[in-house]
Amino acid sequence: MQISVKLVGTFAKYLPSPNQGNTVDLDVDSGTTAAQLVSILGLPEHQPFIVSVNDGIVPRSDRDSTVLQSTDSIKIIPPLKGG
Amino acid sequence: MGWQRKILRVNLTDGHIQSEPLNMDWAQQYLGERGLGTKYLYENMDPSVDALDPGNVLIFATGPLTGTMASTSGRYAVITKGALTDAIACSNSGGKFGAELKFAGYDLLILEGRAPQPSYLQIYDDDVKIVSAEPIWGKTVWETEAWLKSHHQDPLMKVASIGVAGENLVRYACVINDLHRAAGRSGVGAVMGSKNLKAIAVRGTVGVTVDNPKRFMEVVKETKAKLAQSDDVQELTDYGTNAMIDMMQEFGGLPTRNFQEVQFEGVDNINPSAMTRERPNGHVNLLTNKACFGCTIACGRISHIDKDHFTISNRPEYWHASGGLEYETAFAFGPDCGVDDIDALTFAGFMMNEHGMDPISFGGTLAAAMELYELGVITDEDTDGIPLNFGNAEALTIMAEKTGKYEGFGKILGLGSKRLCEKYGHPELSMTVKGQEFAGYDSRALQGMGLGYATSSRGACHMKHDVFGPDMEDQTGAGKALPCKKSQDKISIIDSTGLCWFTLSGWKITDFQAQIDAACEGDWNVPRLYETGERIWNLERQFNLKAGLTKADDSLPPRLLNDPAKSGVAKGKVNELGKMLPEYYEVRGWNEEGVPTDQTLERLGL
Repeated sequence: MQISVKLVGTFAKYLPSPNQGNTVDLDVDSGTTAAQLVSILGLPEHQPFIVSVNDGIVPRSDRDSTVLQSTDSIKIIPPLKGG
Repeated sequence: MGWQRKILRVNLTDGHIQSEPLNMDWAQQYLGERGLGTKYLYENMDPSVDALDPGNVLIFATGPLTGTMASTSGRYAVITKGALTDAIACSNSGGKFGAELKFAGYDLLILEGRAPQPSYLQIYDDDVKIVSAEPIWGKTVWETEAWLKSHHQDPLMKVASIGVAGENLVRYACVINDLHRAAGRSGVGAVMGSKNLKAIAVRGTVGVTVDNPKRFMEVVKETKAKLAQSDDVQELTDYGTNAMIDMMQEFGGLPTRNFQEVQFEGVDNINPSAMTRERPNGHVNLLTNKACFGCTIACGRISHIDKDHFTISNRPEYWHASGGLEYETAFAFGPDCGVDDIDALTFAGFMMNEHGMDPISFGGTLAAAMELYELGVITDEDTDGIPLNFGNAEALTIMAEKTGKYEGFGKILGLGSKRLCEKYGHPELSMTVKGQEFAGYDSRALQGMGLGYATSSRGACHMKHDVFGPDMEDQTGAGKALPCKKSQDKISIIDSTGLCWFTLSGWKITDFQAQIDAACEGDWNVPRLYETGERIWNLERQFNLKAGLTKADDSLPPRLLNDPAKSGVAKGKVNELGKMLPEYYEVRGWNEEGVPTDQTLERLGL
């Protein structure tokens, strides 16, 4: 199946090619989880970034059990900091 | 060492100038900068006096690491009773002024009274004079700095000054140093204006010393390497603080149109990508980044405005480069006012620096005025004929200049959001705590941030706590009180070092501890640092209680408590302050009224 993933702000550097803006369409196996997506994208797992599915945050502890759907709105948001 | 062991006390009323030894017992209890400045403020004034009364005391405080080889060692703080908040104010700044004050031999500069006529203070090491400011009164910050350097024939002189806004007691006037670095919050510039003090011009040749130079240099080398190797620090260097705008937009915590919404449709026009995007005419907003004294991060932005833009097409005096958009400026002028014209935002930012005003408070006040305008409470008759609709870029730039020059409706905007909304009978529309406008983080999405806003000693502020981690994990108030308290204590001590807390992107508390311990006499271990931070926080609380503040001032506006977020991760949620605050008081060791218990005060030696 194909999923669309938005890598927000400074995380655009992890976008695989080809991509459009800061969004990429990925072909993944049916049943792919949020944790597997993080691995596919090569995101720095030690950082407290946010995986958001349909505007809801997927807790880190739930990433393994959260199965992604092709209709999902998926966003990866870098760690929030002051400034 | 670390400390210069000397303070400079200037009574502006009678012109008496004296240096005196630093109280080393207090230095050991409060470290420096914010902490030591708070202690001196508390012991040198009656907190109940009006902020603009000559009885208020204005303190410029360096830290033991200010001016050293440590990274980001350019910080100093201005501590006083805030003109915007009527609470304790502690606004810190970077640039080079703080280090120069330290090089002149002083840990603190204490300013008392009110000069009988407009004056500036000239400091050349021990040679200190109060000088007539007649030639520069009424001039902008930029004109003032240029005049002082020219008049004294000293281009290396460092200047902290106020603009016309500060002279006229605009409630959120700030102190600007090095053209575009600001002790920005709570109206410390208005206090300076109330003292008839236009500027402080300083040159120092004394230098700094540390307790254990060899160990200090080893630690500094290690800690600088950590910053250099940090991805988070590199992001600050590459993108500046405005990188936050994309994250808050997607998170749903980007306050928009006076906090009526939490996401802004125009964000792509004002984010870091927009700052670096080349336009058809070849113009690019961002020119380069810039570092403060000793900083190895360089998060500052230097920008210029398109010469074809309506703000400057006929004003070549603004065709130069100057301080560009940081996140808070971008948020306050952009989403909060509904404006997505990046050149208009940049111009309004120039106005803040040139005239000496806090962009967060100006933007928040204008946003409140825009809501009042759209509700029909104020009309074109009030606003000098300028339509104040959300999204009106021209209104943003005109009002920024009018407020800076203290003209027309700008005088009303200069009251700040709280006083402005009260004036027009709608106090509920003021997005403030203790009279100070919010930063760019909506506390319906970031619950712990809301608790931090409500309990910050200087009013709504995002820089006195750091609960981002827990706030990212869940959007309820559960479990936020303790991390909020701990981070407040931690930042209280970092604010007392002379270093910048953006280093937390690459350092842990142990990295600060190693540098403090090498620079200062005494055993500065981590538990002692946290205890010192807690002592500082509680002394600020004591100041505010004596100033007349109560539990009722630890609050959030009704909009954040009653009106659910319309979108984003916190859609449908309001802030849960009512649950968090009692838990916070408990972990603080305060009673139900928010007053530190005798046991807490005794434990902290207060």
